[in-house]
Amino acid sequence: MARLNRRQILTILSLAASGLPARLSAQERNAVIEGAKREGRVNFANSASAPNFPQFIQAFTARYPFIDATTGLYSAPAGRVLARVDAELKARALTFDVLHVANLAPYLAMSQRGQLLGYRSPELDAYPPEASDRDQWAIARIVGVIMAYNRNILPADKAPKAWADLLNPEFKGRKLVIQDSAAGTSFNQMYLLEKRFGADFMRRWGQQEPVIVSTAAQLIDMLVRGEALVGATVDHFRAFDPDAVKAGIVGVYPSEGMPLATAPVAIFKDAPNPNAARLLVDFTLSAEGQTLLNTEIFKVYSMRRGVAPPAGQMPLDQTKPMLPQDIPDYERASRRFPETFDRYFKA
Amino acid sequence: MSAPPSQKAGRLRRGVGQERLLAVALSAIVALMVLVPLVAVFVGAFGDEDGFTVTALTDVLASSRVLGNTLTVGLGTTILATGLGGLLAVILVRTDTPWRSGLEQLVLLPLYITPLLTAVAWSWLGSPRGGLINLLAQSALGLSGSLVNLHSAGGVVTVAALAYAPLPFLLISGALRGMDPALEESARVHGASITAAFRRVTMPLALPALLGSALLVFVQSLGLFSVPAVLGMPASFYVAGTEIYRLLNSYPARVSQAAGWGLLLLVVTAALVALQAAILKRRSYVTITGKAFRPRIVQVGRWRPVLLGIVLLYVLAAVVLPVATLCWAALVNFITVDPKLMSFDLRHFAYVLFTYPKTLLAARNSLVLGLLTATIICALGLAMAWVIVRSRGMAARFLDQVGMMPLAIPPIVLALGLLWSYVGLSWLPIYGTIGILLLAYVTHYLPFGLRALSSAVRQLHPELEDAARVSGASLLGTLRRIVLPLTRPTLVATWTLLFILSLQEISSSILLYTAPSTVLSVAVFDLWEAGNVNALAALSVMQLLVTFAALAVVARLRQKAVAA
Repeated sequence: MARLNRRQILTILSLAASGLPARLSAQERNAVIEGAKREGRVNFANSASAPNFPQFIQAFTARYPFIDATTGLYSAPAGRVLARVDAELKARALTFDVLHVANLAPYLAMSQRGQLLGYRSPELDAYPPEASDRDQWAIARIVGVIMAYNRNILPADKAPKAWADLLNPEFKGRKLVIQDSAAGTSFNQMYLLEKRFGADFMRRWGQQEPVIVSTAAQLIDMLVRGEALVGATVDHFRAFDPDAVKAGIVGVYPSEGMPLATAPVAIFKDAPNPNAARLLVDFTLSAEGQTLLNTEIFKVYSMRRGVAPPAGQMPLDQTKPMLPQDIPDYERASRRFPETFDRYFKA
Repeated sequence: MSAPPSQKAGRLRRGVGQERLLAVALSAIVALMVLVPLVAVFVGAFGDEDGFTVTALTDVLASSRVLGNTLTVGLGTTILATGLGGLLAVILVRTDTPWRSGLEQLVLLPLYITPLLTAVAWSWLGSPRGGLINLLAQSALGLSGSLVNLHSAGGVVTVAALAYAPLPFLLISGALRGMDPALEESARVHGASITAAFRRVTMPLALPALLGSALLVFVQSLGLFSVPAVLGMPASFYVAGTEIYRLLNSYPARVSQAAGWGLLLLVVTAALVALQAAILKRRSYVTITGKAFRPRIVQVGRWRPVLLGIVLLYVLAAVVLPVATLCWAALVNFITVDPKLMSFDLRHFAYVLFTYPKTLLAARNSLVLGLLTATIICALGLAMAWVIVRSRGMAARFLDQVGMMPLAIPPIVLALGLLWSYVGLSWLPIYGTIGILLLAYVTHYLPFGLRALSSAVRQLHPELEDAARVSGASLLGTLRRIVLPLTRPTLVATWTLLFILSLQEISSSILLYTAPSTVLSVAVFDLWEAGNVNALAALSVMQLLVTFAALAVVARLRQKAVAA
């Protein structure tokens, strides 16, 4: 997989960007606000599990005090969120308005099936056109996947520097810890590493018998407590969290590159509260929302112009970012991913 | 002046008609509650988008590792919990071990602590490298390896057994108290030693309770979710419960396979229930009667401290250590054994009370669900128990059998069936509300209420009800004025137990909740998945405080009732 610069990343993210629909007039904007007041709530399904994520919801509620965004807040690992959304969509009993998980693949599938609402947020003017697709979704966060270790347990010279180092014999037998297939970032990483290194690499990685945990937070917890030596599917921002750093966690940008998982935000076509959902999407993509979400809460990369990159971390274009290039193949692979994961890691 | 005989006969006939109506109505309600989700699981296991298929079942049967793990946990937990519960029952009912009455209350406390909390606490205590016990052992004893490793099959079995031991304890101690001591005495008179009399007389007579409790624990542990999720998954040790959760919570969800697991669990537990019935049918156990006996207390002499030690060790492992660990984790700044780094404050309580957005909603939902579940089961269970005990018709037999069926349905399987039955049902829009959780709780816990209330109704002489009916009381009036007051003590105890069990329920809640219907146990699980361990501890401590406060209120009410 070739190294990509920022421009190329954005170009690849543009999957089928087409003509931009007209922006809302002032009158239409007022109608959205009045509609949101009538709706009074928004149901937000997301995989944003940071302890301080409630700050984001509080800021949204402060901006729109007539919308209850707490009662309908459903935060869980991406797999659980998507499984619930999928079940509701199939049963035509959707309770959610807005979806925000760190995995682009389901948005592609839902967009193809006509399950997302076309909405061009006025905030998208501050984004490159590649950040959204036919106004079905817009990228609100970019999460990189790296490796990490605990310097109190593993000396720096013994720590892996490259993805290939994961296959070293000293990491065999429950020394590595990875996230389960339910994690959105996990799919993106596994897909990209399989494309880059081949199925044999994945098989040998599985033969190292890594510990499998449900979430990235549990993975860091395992490293902090010394239950595993190396985290091999670490959401990059978690390795640089001040508490994690204090506990001895060191993030490693692998020499071959950092797989990226994009986290879009989208409104469901049959959203019960479409106007409140529009306001939530606007807020998420706004300068205030992006600064809060990406710079302050998650410390991840934003596509909005003018939003500061996460402090103390490597700029995105220096991380040798890895992104899918064959989008139809990427979407197809996502549908098989739970079985693929089990074949490599649970056989 | 009393009514003429023809009028009395007419009233009794009308009463019989009302009884039948009640029996049919109850049968219809129970059939809807229990059979609909079972059909949904069956359909889900054999059907996918392409029509009929057995792929899901063959996939499940080919998963030998998960099958083996499930069986290991099922059998291991059953043997250990039943053995432990039986041993505790013998010690506290049949020996002169000191402080028996107080210890009995302590031994029952794990019933009120959800297995999820016990598992989380023991994960912090006994994880292989970072567990507090291992860290302390390393610093105190200079050990280089691990003293204990609870992230393992053994850990899952041990912690599950600690959590479930009170169930066999309750059933076996009840059976031991209900035995006529004359039977053992006659064995002793004929030359049998204490141990021989125990082996040949006591044990066989306690067999129904032993088998019943073993079956109960086996069914619970076969569908176990929270303990293997916390202690097994970090060791890549998957069982059916965690596998169903995993299959349903990945993208895309593997629904048919999850249903296949559900169906397999159902078939196994149903077969075991039938086997238990067949074993108990072969012999007569009529020597165990409802009559109250004073059990013969065995003088154990120098073994008293040893037996006391065993009971205290259980209380320490199942109650004191987990609760103390949770309290400590709720107050400490972060989890460490280094005293220099420790500081204590209330910040985690402040977080779950004022920042974590789910706390108040989850607490409200849990309390509402607890109140409704306990009340509905008591009302439904009392009516069902009355029909089962007093009627001889087909409906009564149907109610008895179907009403007890949820005992053989692991809650996660029941939740699967309910989810698929109600998610798209527009004429009964309970999906997305606490209504679907209420249905799951009432169905799952119905056998607990039914069994307790059936025993209570059996103790009432039918003459009292007949007198009321002959005097013109309607069926409902009789139930309200005669049956309800006379069964009140059992009702209060059953209501309390059901309220507390509902507060703890996680296995079905995790599949059925949506944002507005989240409950405390799910909020705790979410915090665990999010790695927010100190907040988890704070919320758990608050959950325990609510539980123990409810227990204290009921104990106070009971004391008042006894005094009156």
